Amino acid sequence: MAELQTIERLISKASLRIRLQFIMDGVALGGAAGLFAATAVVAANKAHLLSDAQFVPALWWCGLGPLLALVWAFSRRINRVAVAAAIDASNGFSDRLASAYEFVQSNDVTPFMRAQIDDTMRRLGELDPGKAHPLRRPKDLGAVGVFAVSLLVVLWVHFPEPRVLTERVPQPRPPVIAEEELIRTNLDPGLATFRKDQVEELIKKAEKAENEEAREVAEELRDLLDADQKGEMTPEQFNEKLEAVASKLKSNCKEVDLAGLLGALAPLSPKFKDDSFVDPMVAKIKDGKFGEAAEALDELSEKVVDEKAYTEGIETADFYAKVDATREKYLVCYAEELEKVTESLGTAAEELAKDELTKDVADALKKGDMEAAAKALEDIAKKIESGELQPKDVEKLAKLLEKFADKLDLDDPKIKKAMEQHKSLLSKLQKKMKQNGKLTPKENKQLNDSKKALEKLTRDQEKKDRDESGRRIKRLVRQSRDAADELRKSQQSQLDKNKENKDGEGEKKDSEKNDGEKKDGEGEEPEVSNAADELRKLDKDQKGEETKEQLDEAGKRLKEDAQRSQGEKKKKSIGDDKRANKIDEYLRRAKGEEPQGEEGAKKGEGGQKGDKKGGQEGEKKDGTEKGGNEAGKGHEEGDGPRTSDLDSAREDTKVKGQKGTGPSRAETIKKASQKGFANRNYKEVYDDYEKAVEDVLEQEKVPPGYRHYVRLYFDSIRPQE
Amino acid sequence: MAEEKKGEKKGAEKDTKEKKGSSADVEALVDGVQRDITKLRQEVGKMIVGHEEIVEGVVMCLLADGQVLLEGVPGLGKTMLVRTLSEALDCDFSRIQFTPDMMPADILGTNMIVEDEHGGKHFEFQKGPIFTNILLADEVNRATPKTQAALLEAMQEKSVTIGNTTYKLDPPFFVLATQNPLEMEGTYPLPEAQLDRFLFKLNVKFPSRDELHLIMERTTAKDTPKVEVATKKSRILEMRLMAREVPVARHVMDYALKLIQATHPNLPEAVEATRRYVRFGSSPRGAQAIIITAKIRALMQGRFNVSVEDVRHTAMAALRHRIILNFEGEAEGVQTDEILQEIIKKTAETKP
Repeated sequence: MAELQTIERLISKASLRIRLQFIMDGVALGGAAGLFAATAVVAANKAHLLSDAQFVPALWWCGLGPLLALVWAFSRRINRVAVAAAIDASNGFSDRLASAYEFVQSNDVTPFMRAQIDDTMRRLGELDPGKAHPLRRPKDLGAVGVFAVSLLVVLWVHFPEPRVLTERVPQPRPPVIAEEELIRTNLDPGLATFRKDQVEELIKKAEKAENEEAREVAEELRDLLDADQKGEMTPEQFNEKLEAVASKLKSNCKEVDLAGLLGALAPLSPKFKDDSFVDPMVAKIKDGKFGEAAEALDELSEKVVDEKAYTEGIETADFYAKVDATREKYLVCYAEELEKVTESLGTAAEELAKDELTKDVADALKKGDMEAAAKALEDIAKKIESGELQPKDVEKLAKLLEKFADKLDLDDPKIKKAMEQHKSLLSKLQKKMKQNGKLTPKENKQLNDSKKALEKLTRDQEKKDRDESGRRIKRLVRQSRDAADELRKSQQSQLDKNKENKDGEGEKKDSEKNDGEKKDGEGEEPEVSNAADELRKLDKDQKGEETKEQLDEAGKRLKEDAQRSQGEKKKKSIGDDKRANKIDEYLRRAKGEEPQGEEGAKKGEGGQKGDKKGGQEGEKKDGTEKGGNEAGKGHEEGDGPRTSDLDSAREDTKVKGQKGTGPSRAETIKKASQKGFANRNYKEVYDDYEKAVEDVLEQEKVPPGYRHYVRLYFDSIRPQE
Repeated sequence: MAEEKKGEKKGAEKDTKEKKGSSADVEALVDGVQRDITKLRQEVGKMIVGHEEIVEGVVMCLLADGQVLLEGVPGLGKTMLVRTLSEALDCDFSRIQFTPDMMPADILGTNMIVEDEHGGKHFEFQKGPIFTNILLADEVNRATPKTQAALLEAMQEKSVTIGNTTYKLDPPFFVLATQNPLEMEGTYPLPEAQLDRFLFKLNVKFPSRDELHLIMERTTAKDTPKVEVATKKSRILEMRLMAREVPVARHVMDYALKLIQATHPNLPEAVEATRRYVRFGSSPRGAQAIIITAKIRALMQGRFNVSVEDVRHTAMAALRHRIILNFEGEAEGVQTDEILQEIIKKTAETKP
């Protein structure tokens, strides 16, 4: 027990020093904190942020810091064994004191422990507890000094009087951008410019083709685009206008209220009802020749305006009737020109059909398929070139082509005659007027109108002459004639040569004759080929109202663009749902399932239209009949989704790759390992590396387990011998 | 023979109990141990120049009844050390040079057909080289795992089982295995579980120039130093028992356990190096090894208690083969000694 007290006394001495150190550290820390807080309080008071009444209590609170630190330092527990160990460590006592302190308190003291305690007690005099914990300067003393200086500075510095705050100036509200302002245009500017350029192109085309109707529609589209880009239109207005413009094109073409038109004409005059002007016009509308019908209607309306004058004098009336009749006749003829051509071709084809050689050409012409006819003619040309045809056949072919050319004569003498008649009548009327003296203003106007009408007629005639298709037909006729002449000449020359052969020429000359025939054949061939080319061009012309279609397409594109732009800007969830439905529908169709819902029910509409117009029909009839010349539009017009005509149940086909002449990947790598990618020999490089690796493995501290893997790796990239 | 040895052991225990009856007796015993060990070290020092730490480590393992793994390049005197030790202790000595084709029977022994004087034949067990007091297992990593396992089992159990018969090995049974860090190709490095059975792993370092001078003088002169017997086998057993009596204060043991915990990367006591380079830390065997050898160190220094310094001193040899490095540690060539140094440096004792 006495041993324990002795040891504890020693430990207490050291503990006291430790406690003192704790107090010093605590006071320094608390003092630093208190000074900092006092500095802040004084500054706040001087800056009038803290009132004088609050200032003194606040300072008292600041003084609490060191006090609290002092309490904490006194109450802190000290591990006495650790103190004893520290005394041992500081005196080189090999944990004797700490061990003895523990063994003394043990209930079961072994002889060894006893010996240890005795040994420690004997050596206690050597111990100096002060060495264990020499007092040191507190760590936070520097902070105390800094904050003390800060406090003095704050006390010394004069703080300015606080400013009286003026009234708060209301800040302008941030501009609120309305949604309508954000969506200024229905089309993106870039896209609109692009579309406008396209429309401008179409306007030029329409002007070139003198297609007023198309030009007007195109101009309307351009105006619509301009208005949109100026931000003058709401999405609804834009869509409405676009719809109107698009439908105008259609209504001009297809939606003629024939009954209403006739009804409107009826009350004007019973004459008009029976007039021969009306019936052809009606016929044109029924035939879908709307452009010509419109012209006829213009004429008729002019006449209606002048009904009174028309009925006043028989002579004048007769004159106008004749003029108009001539005009009408011309218009009818002009309008049905292409039909005549087709009919002519059909008639010509009958001639050609009589011979086996030209039967294919005839069939193609009957069907109106200029492409096929051209191909057949080319085949004939090749036969002539290769000398397959007999002289008899060549003669026959010449006659046929001549007849074909005769049938295709398009210089209509009737139209020319009508125009001449028209001119003579007009001059007569002028003479008569000069003789009788004055003309009424109405008569004068009629005269001028007639003059204008005649001029227009003349222009039309000239235009017809200029017209590309008319020129091509003429060229075709001319070429057919030339081809026939050439054939005949070659036939003649062949006969001459045969005659000469009979006069005793050798067999060698026969071969020369054959060569000559071949040459002749070669001379004819270009003519026939040209004819074929012309037929192809004609076919293209027949294929369509290009400008109108382009305008229609432009309208559709604009509609899609507008929908897309508006859809993106507004981000309508409805649109998303529709798109999702469409995607679902598409996926269903891709799987070969039947479409569902309302959209699925509409599927037949599009498909039926397409079948009527498109080339699909020909395919359905196993190729016995050729389909239309144009790709079907019906599919485009169909609203609903369509099921795929393709059978999805296909067998997979494996296509074997062909081995090319180039090097394989394996060869390339092998080559690289032998020769190296760089200029230096790979083997040399490898030898250097191998040496370096061995050196490193021997000299460096490479973990044993990794040596094997390092060697294995370098073995794997060893160059092949 | 066996009964004689048993009686000898019991006598030693009785003597110890009687002698340690009082504090003065204990002091006398500790003095005796210190004296004997000093003498043993002096005798070994006649032949072995330098390597004080190695000799101390070997003696500590001998008194702690553990085995030691010596790692060092050839020619540093490992075999000489063991031979000298056996001579100084008056113990039997065997040396086995391990090779890949060595079989367990080559070290343990085997039953052989023996013909007696009457012409009858019977099986008789022929003891292998393992039946000795001090065994030098040279280049143990060259043997196949099967042979290594036979040796390590004998080390652990202090017995050999052949067929149905178990043969006890004579105490003290002390194995010194050597391992060459070079030429590791074609070797079978000891697995971690088997390394753990060695109490210490001692790295034999290259001697200094002064030591080399002494080596040259001693080994090339006409007369070679003669090693005398410093102590007997029975005294070793006595000292082994006494070593276990040395008390350890809790704060010292706590420090040893803190060191062990600091070798485990997932524990809060782990230091930065452990977290970065160690895959597995030491097993509790490591702590046992530290404490028992720390006790012996205290005895060797004539103290009756274990100090934190004893723990620090023995921790390196006791833990260096018990720490498994992770890939980063292996790749960067980190030595376990470096990690242990950081652990010892950063693991603080209990603070006041």
